[in-house]
Amino acid sequence: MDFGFSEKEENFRREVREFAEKEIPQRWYELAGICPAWATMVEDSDEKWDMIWQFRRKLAQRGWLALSFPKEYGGGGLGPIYKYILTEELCLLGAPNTGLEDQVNIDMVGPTILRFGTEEQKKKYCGAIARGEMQFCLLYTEPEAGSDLAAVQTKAEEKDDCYIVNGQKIFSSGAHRSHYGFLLARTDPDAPKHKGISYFMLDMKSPGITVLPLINIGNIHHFNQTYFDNVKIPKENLLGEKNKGFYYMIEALAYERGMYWMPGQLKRGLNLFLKYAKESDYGKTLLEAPMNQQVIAKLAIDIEVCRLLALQVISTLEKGKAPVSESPVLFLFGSQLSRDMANMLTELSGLYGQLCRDSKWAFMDGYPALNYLESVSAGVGAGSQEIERNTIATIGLGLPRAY
Amino acid sequence: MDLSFTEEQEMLRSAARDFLERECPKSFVREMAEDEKGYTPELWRKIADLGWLGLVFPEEYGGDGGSFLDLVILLHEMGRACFPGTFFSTVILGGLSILTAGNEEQKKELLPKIGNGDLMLTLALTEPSASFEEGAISTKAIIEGEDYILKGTKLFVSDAHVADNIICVAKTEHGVSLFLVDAKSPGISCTLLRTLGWDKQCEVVFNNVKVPRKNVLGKEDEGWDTVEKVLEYAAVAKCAEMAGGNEVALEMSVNYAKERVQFGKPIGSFQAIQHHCANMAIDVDACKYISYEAAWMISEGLPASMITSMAKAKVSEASYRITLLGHQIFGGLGYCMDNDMHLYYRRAKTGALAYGNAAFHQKKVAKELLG
Repeated sequence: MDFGFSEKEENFRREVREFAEKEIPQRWYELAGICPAWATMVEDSDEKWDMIWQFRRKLAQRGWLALSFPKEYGGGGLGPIYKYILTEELCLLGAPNTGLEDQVNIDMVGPTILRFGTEEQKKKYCGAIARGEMQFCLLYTEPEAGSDLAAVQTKAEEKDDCYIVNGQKIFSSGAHRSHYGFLLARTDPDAPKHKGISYFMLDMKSPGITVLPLINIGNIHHFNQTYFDNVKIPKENLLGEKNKGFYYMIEALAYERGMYWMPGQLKRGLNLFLKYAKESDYGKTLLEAPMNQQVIAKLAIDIEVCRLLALQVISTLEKGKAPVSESPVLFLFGSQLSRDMANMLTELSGLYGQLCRDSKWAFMDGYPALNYLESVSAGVGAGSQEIERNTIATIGLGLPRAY
Repeated sequence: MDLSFTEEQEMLRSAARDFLERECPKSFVREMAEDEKGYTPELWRKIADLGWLGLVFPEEYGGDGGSFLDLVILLHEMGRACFPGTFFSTVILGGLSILTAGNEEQKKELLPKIGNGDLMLTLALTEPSASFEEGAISTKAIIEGEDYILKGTKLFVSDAHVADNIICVAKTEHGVSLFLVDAKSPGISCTLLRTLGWDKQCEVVFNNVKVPRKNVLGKEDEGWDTVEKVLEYAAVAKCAEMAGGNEVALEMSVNYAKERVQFGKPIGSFQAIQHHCANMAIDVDACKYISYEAAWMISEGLPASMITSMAKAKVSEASYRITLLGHQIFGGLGYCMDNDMHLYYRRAKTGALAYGNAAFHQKKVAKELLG
């Protein structure tokens, strides 16, 4: 066992930190807040979105944007441990790229195409992602297919050299900012439900697509409802084999659902809380209370545990194994901790905990209040806690399925 | 011992529920969140006509002579409806301060006006220290002839932007005193804060505000006893509001769990969801009964500081759990602005922080236990 990092890895960490300290514009924090949240990214302003792209391109110039993609597709060709270090450092500094959209591109779409795509598809899509030129959104969830993702009803019917898509997706994060959609659609209505679904790369400019905003409880336009009315997709945009899409997705999720960003993001939140508290009279008083000290200590301990659970995923990946049950363990612990921390920061902040960012007297840039709202998504977004627990119990621990 | 409502209380409860369902739909709650004032004169008039504003005041002051428990029944229903506006500030923070500490003249003059809907009030207690302790009061009141001059900053003052009178807690020579201040007095400036609970809290700055000495409420220097009493009322009233909201969060969740189908079955048929609902139900009952026990003790004139702190600590923590589980059951849908679950989740937090959060009241409980 070795919990340490090699000299090369430590050097990389330093390099990332220096890069980020230099390249994150002050304006970014003014726009996105001191602790830009992962779960409800910042598509509400063009300026913020532009800043994200600028930062991504700077990462891309160093081969860091798609650090784990092979070099031939524009990536850095580095292993999961470097991915972890990069993400942790960027999160600790609240960098403009710590958004869900990066994860969609880099951790979900890219690796799936790399695994199942044709040479041409890998070059086209992964290359563009790695250069910081293409944004994907996931088009998975539907009104009747949430936790039960295999129930997707959006149809893609083969016709001549195309597939014709009809149906509706919901909670499409960032669809209004995306160039391509990573679409799950039913291609065989007669097959058992897992066996009739295919994956497509869908050009979001195709005629027949309507993207309507769905405003979240943080009053941010992040989600969308996406409607398809006879949308044509060229056959060459099918990923892998027809009707295998659901299995690709499960496999991809098992490998890639590593919420590496959680420890860094949480640590930044706690660090900033302590910094702001020390700077105000009110904060100094609250830090003196033994009850509060205990809460702060518990959070710090759990953040360390969260970091270890992330490293467990990395360690498994480094051995070339699928972190099938390690990923849900991290997800569950991290999502619960995100919520607990959000709640405890409002409690520790007392009456200030309820003040929004745009309020006079806002404490910590209004982070506790916004985070209280946003943390709701931690346990329901990207798979609900209940489904993840089922995965740990049945796949991880070998218990029989209840349904 | 009988934990059911009396016939009159049941009538009040069901009349209030019918009225609020009709007059305070969620669309109105959202409208008032955006509205600068946060209430409408029409609805204010209607609740005055129903007798709600004077419910808890003795008949000799134009009230209905209801008990504090009756008032809490009303607040429970208001919590269910996410009722916006200044009822809480006017009746509990303002009215009960006057009833507790006011002299005969003040009570005779002010309480009927509150009951008639002609006077809105609030209490300016907390300051940038965000503390509920006497020692934290730094706003000063200095005697100058027949007047007091108030100077200081009050923070998190509910509904001060629309109040006619503000009861200001300020330091006097040998303690703190309560001052009944005309909100339009020169030197007062009020800024609305923005909270996640969508309520209206304000910063109120008193910059050398002149208040006639006769406007002191209660005995000079002995105001803190009144503050403690009023904080007790407010904490229990807030508990009742949250307890009402919790009930709705559970009802919404159970209904949705019966309707929402995944994997070919209503999600309510899965044990994971059933256990969530069962856990919510336990907390819902806990919140309801501990709030009502505290309200009953206050109504009976029994010492209620221990039970008040027990209730506020319990309800503050449980309301977060209940409304978060509600969100868990609603999934992505609950995370959308259009869904109503977050209204309760928001109010669970502002409610938890008001009048002492769970940690504050747990400490008080421990102190009482340990002597």
